[in-house]
Amino acid sequence: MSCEKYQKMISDWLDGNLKTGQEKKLILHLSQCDECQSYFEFQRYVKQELVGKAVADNSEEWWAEFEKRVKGSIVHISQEKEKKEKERFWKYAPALVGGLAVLFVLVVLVLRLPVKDETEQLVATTLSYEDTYLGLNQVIQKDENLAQKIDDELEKSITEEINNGSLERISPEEYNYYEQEINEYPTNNFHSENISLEE
Amino acid sequence: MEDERQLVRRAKNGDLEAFMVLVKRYEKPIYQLIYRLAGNREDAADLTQETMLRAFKGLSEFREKASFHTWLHRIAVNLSLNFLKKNRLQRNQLEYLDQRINEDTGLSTDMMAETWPATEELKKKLDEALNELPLIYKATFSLVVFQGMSHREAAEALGCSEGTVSWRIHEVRKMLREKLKPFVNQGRGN
Amino acid sequence: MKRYYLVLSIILIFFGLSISYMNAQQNHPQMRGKIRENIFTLRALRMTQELELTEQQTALIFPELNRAEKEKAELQRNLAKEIKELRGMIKEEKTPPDQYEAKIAQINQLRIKIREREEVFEKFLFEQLTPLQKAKYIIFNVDFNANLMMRMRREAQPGQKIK
Repeated sequence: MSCEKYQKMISDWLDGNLKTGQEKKLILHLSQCDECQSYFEFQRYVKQELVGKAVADNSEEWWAEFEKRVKGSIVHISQEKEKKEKERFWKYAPALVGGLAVLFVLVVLVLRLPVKDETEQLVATTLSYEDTYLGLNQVIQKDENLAQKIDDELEKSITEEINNGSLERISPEEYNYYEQEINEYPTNNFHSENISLEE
Repeated sequence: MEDERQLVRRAKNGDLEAFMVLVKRYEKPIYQLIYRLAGNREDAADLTQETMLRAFKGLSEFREKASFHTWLHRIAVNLSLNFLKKNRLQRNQLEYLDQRINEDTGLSTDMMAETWPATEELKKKLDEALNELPLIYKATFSLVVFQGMSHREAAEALGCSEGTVSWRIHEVRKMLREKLKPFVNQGRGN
Repeated sequence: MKRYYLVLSIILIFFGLSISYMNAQQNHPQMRGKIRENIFTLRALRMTQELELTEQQTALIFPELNRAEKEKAELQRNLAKEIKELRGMIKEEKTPPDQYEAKIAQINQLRIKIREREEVFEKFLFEQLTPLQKAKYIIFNVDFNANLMMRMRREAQPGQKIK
């Protein structure tokens, strides 16, 4: 390595910026090179001379005045900032309130509206029972045996269903009450007379 | 001494007294730094005050985890360099290097290996030599040698890389050596 | 108490429908009317179970369910009739085009009415249900329809062609 490079190392070393491991190398070189040793001592002197050296001292009064000036300025800056913030608030507050009101209305609408839409769309999304029935009906129309079988099976399922759920039996009094209700059950909103069972 | 982080946090929250504590802590070193760059008291005083006010205004953007010390120095350096660029002629780097190369010292090497007694002459010449430096070199050297910053901190304050700082300091030192050689010899009396 | 309403609804269904059937013509297809009735009964029972309807819900839902069923049943009967006629028309190659159009329009009308009635009921139903019950209803509906198809396939004898 050339002396130029070692002199750079000296500079870094004086500033505490020399990488570890390089220090030993430098010291070894300094013990062997007069020029670099001389360079090192000069730079060390300069540093000692200059570190912490005040070039222009001012009196305590001067500094007190300085601090007073700075304080005055920052108080003023602080007040101006507060004033601007207030102005900004009052400038934007109406818009903000308006915006919030609009948002609130939108949220309410959004939350309320789909309730109806959802149900209206529901049949479209679920498989229509009536379509399934139509298909089934077309098949069993042509085949009496199949129709009978399915019917028997349905009745079996119904019975099962009733028996399954531990149904409480109703008392005769209750039965009579219900019978009355049944007889009064409205059937005339429907053209029952014209029912054709021909399917 | 209150922890600096706490002071900064309080100042950020609008505590003016906390900020004034910071001002008192840094006013002298900052003034010294700026004085070395500007070369006169009036400019140094104005720029120091401006540095403090800029710092106050910029507190909201200052990230608490960063070093206030370095940040403040950065403001000081930027302000000074911008001010001085506008207000006086500058030696650029090339001129400075040319001048250095052309200097003829005429010394022989066997006179080097001795200690340096301090003389007034030498000190005067040292100040002169430093004053003649291009601003950015002066700023770099001031931050590291006068303010005691590490190369990394100085790099942060100057907005350049650490390598650049190291190189600049090295160049300044070489220059000082070249300029002061004659006066060193004078000082080395018997 | 829930079961009382369940029994009540079953009775209502049976009696309600049987009253209407008493007015109807006694015909061979009575059996098929019964299939519809049975499917409906089974569906009502299963739905009550699956959705875990409360007494109050049952009391509100079942009358409407009944009304919807009656109206749809008639529409389905008419639709079946129209389809049968359409089959005949296709077989009989001499059918003029405008007759086709008329028949198709009738069939379409009936299908739309059935679908609309279904929608009206489901909309009403959903107003009575909790979100969980609504979700269960969808699943129940899909499963029940699939179940119907399965029944048919199972009962059909091997060799019996079901397209």
